[in-house]
Amino acid sequence: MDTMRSDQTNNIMEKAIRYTQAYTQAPWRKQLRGIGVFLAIVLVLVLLGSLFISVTARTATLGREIQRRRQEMESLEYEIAQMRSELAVLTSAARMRERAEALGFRPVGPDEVLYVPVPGYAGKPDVALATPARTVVSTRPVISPAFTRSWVDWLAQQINAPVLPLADLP
Amino acid sequence: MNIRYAFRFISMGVFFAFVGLAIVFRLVSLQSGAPGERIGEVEKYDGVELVTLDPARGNIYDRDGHLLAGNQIIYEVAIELNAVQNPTSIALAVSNVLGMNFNEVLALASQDPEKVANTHVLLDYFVPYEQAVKLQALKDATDEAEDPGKTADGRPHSLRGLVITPRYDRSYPEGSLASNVLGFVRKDGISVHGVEEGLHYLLSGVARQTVVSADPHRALDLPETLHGADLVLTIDREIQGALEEILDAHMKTSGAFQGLIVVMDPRNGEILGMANSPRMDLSGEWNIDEVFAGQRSYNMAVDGYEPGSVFKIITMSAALDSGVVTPDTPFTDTGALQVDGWTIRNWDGGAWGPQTMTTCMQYSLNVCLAWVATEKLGQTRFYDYVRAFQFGQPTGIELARESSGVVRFDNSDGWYPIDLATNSFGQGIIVTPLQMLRAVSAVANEGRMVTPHILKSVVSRDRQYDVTPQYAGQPISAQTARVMSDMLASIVESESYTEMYPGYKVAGKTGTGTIYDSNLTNASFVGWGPVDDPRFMVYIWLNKPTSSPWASLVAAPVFVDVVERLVVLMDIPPDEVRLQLKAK
Repeated sequence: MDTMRSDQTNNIMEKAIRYTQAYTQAPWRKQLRGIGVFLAIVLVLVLLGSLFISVTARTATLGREIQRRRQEMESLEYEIAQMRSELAVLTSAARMRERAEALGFRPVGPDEVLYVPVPGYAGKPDVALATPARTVVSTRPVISPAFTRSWVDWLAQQINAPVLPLADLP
Repeated sequence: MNIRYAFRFISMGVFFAFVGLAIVFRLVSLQSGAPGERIGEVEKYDGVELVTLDPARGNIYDRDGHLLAGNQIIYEVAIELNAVQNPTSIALAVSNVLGMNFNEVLALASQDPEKVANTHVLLDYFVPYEQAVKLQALKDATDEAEDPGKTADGRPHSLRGLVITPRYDRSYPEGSLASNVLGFVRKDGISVHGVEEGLHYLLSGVARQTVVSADPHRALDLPETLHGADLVLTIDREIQGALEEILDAHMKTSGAFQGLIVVMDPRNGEILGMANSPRMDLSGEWNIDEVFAGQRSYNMAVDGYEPGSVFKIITMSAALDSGVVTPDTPFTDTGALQVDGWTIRNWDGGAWGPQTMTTCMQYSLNVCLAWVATEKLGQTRFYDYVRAFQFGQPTGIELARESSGVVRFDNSDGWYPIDLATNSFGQGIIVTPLQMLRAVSAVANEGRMVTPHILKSVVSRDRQYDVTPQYAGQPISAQTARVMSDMLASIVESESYTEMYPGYKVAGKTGTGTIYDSNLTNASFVGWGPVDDPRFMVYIWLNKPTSSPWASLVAAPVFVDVVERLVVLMDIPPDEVRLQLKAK
């Protein structure tokens, strides 16, 4: 009885082992999968790192460019101020008078002036050195939307946009 | 492991090893190469630098956009001892270009940076543009040359450590033109007098020092430099030049100590010209103490004085407006009037007999006007009008150091009844020419006073803000103003000095104020025209003329010359032509 029971038990165990072996991966496969997952993670990290470095490098380059342009702008502001001053000296009242006199001009007297009415002429306009403060400024953005919207915004716009321009609709 | 996978593993291993090596190689090259040196320099300052935001002072323009005050580049030349490689090269360059002593510069450049408190050694704070450009070109050529040569001590030439920094300096392209209006900025940056001082808060911008990261990722952190606002003045350069020319000529003929001509548009209070004598040439080297030695003020327009008979316009306007007199009201001038124990006399001490209010004004009779003030108006009404004309209050013009004048009102301490009599003809009262212009503008402008101003617009951050003219009240009625204008126009017509400008009806009044404790006078004139459509109002003040003490002889001729030039410069046709053109 005992021998029979022992054989049955062994059969069951062998079956269990066989089933287990049939449905369990080989150790080398497990090892291979582990390495694969690890490499995949490393690959993703490398890709992300590369992307980060690339973006950071471009930002740094642009930052340097901004700094360089700003220095250039400052230098140009100095140059402009200097040249504006020099121009003002060359066109100063005293210089202009000298040049006019050298060309044979002289100040006119009240009895030498002929007054002619010019329709629509309202006299000398006021000097405008900048846009008058009350002028309505265009609200159109200076930067193209391509540089400010996300791809989701772009996609939403494309979806919502009419297929044909309204003018072309029958 | 299956042999067929081995190749894949090895390939990937090689790939990652290659990537790793590449990264390491790049790190090493960055650290040891030229970029590494630059990064090292940044690191030296802990990644930040102290930046001085040097704002440009705002420009000042005349009403047509001609630059009256601007900026030019001036350079600071210094030595940064930490960066010096060859002190001899620096000394050679600086002594040759800037003319400084070679040995002194060499001694400064040779200092050990470890042993000095400040490694930034200033050589010159005011290096002109041309010299700085020359020095910079030399520095660039030396630093970029493959073989820059060697100095006597065998070291290669190098101007490293020589620092040339630009900064703004004030410039006045028109020289002395309108110098008394503009004021000036001293070399130490302090603005003095005129618009420069009066509107310094607009012109100066915001100078500040800020710590800025050298990290390029934070390039946008650098705050914007807030430059000063540009100003457009109401001054017309051509009119200003003509006024100064006329004033200079009359200063010589009258022998006056100081002189002033102001031209204002009586319709809106815009000052078109303001000529003073003496003036400083602001474009060159100058010393204010020498130019203005013993002078009473930098700009007489904002300075107070006893105006004399021009003030009679105010007294007569008040009397006409309150209805106590008319232009034809009779008055018998006995040559003296007793007030509070004092005797008021005429300018010539004579008795002028039967007069009307018009002739009282024409002959500028003190006795008559004192009678009007004391007997007709009375102290309360007289000083009410003085208040309504805003005497004792500054006009608020955008010029520095404006005096508010001195008026002793009847409720003030120290006021005596004699003050009423003397005030009526402009003595015992201190007013500024601008206050007189403001008050008399009511007569020329249908009873409405305008506020004199010299600022036309402000340009800031690419926007131009125009200044709106301000009215300063209506002390007299339009009817009174018209009567007074006609009275003063008839006075000018009857005077001999009007012969110079036929065709233009102008109104005006002379004023000779005696100077206390002196035989000299202040000669004044206020006039405007054309009377029916005033375009200009002129105020003239000659201090201590010596050719004659009388305003009719020294100040009135100035008015004649000014009007002759103004009508041309302002395109004002003779009255007849103007009315014909208007009718068309």
